[in-house]
Order: sequence, then C-alpha cells, then structure tokens
Amino acid sequence: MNPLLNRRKFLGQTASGLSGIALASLLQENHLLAKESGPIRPNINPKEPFASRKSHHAPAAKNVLVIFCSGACSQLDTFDYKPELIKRHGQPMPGGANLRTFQSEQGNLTKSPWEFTPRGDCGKMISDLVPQIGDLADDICFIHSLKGKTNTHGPGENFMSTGYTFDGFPSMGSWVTWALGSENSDLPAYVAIPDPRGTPQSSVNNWGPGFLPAAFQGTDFNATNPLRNLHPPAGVGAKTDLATRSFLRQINERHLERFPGDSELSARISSYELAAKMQLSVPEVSDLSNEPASILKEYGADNESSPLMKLRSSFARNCILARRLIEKGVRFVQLFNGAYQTGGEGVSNWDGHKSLKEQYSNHGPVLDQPCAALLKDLKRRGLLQETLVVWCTEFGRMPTFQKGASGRDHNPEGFTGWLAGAGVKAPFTYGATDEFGYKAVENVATVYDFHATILHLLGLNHKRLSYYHNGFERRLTDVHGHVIGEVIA
Amino acid sequence: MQQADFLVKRLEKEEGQNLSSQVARAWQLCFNRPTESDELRDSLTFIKAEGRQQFARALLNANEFIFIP
Repeated sequence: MNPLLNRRKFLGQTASGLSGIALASLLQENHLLAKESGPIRPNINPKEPFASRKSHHAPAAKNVLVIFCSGACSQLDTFDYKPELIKRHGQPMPGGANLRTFQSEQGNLTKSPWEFTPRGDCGKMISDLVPQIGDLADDICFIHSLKGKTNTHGPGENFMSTGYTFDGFPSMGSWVTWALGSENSDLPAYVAIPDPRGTPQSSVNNWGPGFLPAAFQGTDFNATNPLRNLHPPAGVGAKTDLATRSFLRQINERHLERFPGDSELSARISSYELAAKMQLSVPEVSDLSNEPASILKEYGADNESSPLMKLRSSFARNCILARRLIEKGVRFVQLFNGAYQTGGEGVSNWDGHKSLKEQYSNHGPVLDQPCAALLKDLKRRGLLQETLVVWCTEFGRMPTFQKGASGRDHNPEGFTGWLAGAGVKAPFTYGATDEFGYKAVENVATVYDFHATILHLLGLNHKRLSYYHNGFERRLTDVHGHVIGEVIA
Repeated sequence: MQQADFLVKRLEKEEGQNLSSQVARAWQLCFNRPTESDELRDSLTFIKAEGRQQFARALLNANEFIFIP
C-alpha cells in the first residue's frame, strides 16, 4: 500500500479537516459544543457496581419510591374532581358519538359512584374511595394533565416504567441505579415489590434493565414471596458454603488476572459477593416480626377478618417492606398495587371496564390505608425529606361508561399522577383536564415530562443521562421531555 | 448439585481413587488446560476440608467454565 497521500485524498481530507475546524470554532462561539450537552457516563467500578456515585447536579431527593397502580386507575373516581361531570351525569358526551376507545363505543357521561369532599387544610377535592390518601393532600403535588401515547395496558406500563411502549428498554429504576449506584452495599440497589396477587401485565419489563448492564435490573420480591434462589442448596451448611465461595473466588480471580479489565468477569465475581451478603440482609429486611403492633395496625397489616382484609394485610406488609428498604438506603423501590396474572379486566387490578363500582369497592380499601400509612410513616421518620414518592398508573379512564357496561374504557388523553416528598411543591395542583376529565388541556404534561422531572429531582439531567446502544444515544425520555419546573419546591 | 455429583462420579470412573489425577482431569474437562502446581495444591487442600462435591460445584460455577472472554 502506498503510504503517501495522493492529490485527491489530500484535497478531500484537508478540506473536511479545515471546515471541521471552522465549524468547531463557530459552535464554540455559540456555546453549542458537546462539552455542555453531551452524555455524562457514570464511572462504574466493575468490582463495586452498586457503589454510590455522584449525580449531575445537586439532588433534591436521594431515593425514589414508585407506587404503581396497574390496570389503569381511573382519575375520575380518585383525584380529578369534575363538577361538570356530576352536573351532566347521564347525558351524552359532546363528540362522544363518533369516539371509539379501546373496547367499545361510548355510553353516557357518568359521575363517580363516590362523593368528593375537601381534604387537608388545602381543601383539595378527593373522592371517598381513597379517603386516607386524601387526608394527606397537604403533602401531595397532583399532576392532572398527564398524557400518554398508547391505550393498551402492556405498552402503557412499559411507557410509564421505561419511556417506550415496546418491550426491552431500561426501566426508570435501572437508569437511576446505573447512574447513581446505591447507598447500601448489602441490599440490591433496585427492588420491585409485586402485588400479593401477582405481577402486572408487562411483568418484568417494568423493572428490566433493557440494554443497560444486567446488574441494574430490579430484584423482585415481596413480603409474601421471599427472594428466589437465595439460600444454599439443601444439605450445604453455611460454613461449607462460605468455604466453597472463597475457593471459587480464588479460581475466578486467577482467571481475571489473565483478562484484566473484563467487566463481565469482575461483575460476576461481585454478584456472588452481593448474593452472599443478601443471604443475611434480605431475610433481615423482610422480617416484619419486630415491627411494633402499632405499626401493623396503622398500615392495616393486623386485620385478616375477611378475604378482602387479608388481601389488604398482604399489601400492607409490602408497604412496610417498602419503608424498610427505603430506610436502609435502597435507591429505587417500585411498589405495585394490582396484578394482571390473577385476573385482568378489573378483577385484581384497576381495569374497571365492566363493573367499576363493584371492583373499585375492593381495590380502594386495599390501596388506601396501607399507602397512606406508608406516606405518614416515611414523613414521621424524616425519610420524606430525602425520598421522592411517585404515584402513577399506565393511563386514565373515560368520563363515560362503555356502551352497555357499567365501567370506564381506557383513556390516555388525560390522567393523574402525583408526587410527594423531597423537592416537591405541596400542596399543589398542576395542569387540568377538560370539564369532563377526558383530555388534558391545561399545562399538558407528557409522560416524558414526568420522567424528566423525576430525574431532575434526583440530580440527573435527562438529556445527558444516555447510553450508546445500536447506533443511538438512548435516553429514558427518548428525544422528548421538559422538566416541569412549577412542581419543584 | 446434581451436576456436581455427576462430575465427581465421572472423575472417579475415569481416574480411580487418586485425588491428584481427579483434580487434573477435572481441570482438563472444565477448563481445557492442565492445572498449575498451586492450583493442584489449593484444590487438594480444599477437597480435604469440604469434599469433592463442593470442589465440583465451584468449578461448574467458575467464570473460566462459563465464559469465553
């Protein structure tokens, strides 16, 4: 090969080189260089992938607790009060005749079966379906103008949990723990607590790592079902297990010496170490037996007098577990209320298509007291000062009942989510739906905006938290999202 | 654990009762290379304390067995 440049190449390369320099200097003058807007990669030590890492800017919140009501919880029967809907109860919705939503044609506008009453000192109107959460209105920032982009459950859960409607993208918890690590080296950085009735429709996609390193996936267990595969095999004692693990580490470290810098090999060594620590720490954090009777009572975990109360008690135990994990410094906890596995269509989730009143009469009490107790408990312990609480669902529901049914169809056009705790303005209400609660019309907040705001409160710039995958700088917020400055304290 | 027991049985069948040749055979089967002298020594010390089943369990969980970097 001729090492000298020929004339054509010389001209071609020097020309682009010179214009490159000119472009860089122009960008510099306009402050558009990547230095200020490019990706910020977390500096992850493969031997300690969960070590605590610095955020992009000073964070308002250290931890996150997400309460996810799966099945699409109706904004109109909980937090979004619409006097006009009550007034026009039983009348057709203007424009409703030609509207085909997920399952069917529209019946008439239908007010909530539950009354709304003023709650807290702020007097926020909240329904009697969730009275105890309602009583905490002074601590909550409601966003009534959320807007999704799908009316189907699986994609809707993916969208809320990962920012994409498709399967296979990293969940918010994975992004956050990839960026920030954890404050606790003995427990997983990211825990997903499925409902006692089972998993949501999109199941593990809600806490999956996507293309981020697998170490940052959520570890799922709850108060009823302990972490799987944690204990040594039958017949292997603790001493033997420890000895075998240290022999294994010896073999692995020798092997690593021959392949220095291979993060997968060292990550696997560290995952054995974390698993060993978790054999002690997870049973300890999941053991609620030393929680005082007053706490069990406050959460509703002491009453098993009926099947419904038994269910509430199991969910209440998950709420206590969530508090214990936050208390121990687990970075991201995702608590699910409602499951698809054991009955979609509103049976064991919030998907109230057919008989909303009957089904929500069960779901409300299961959620309300335990969830309210969790917020009060976090506040009492001072944990709300550093924990951001996010309440969300996959999308909202229609102000009409479905034609020929007694429930509401799917509606991604406008729904409610709320924030509480670290860095959040409260009591506060942001955005609004139209007079019936159908479409977000005032200060419309996309799910991307919701995510950007959550990351911002954690000290992360949603535009710079990115991971290069398949030719794209991928973000939780794709190419969208604006931080909702108004909801920040 | 079941696979570890199978490996132990195979080592016994192929190498008889000689522990050193069992270790060498295990290394050859799992990692496709002979043991180095300290590996043989450490393995024999470990087997004396915890038995061959645990030795086989460790080998089957080793990065060198599972990954080709």
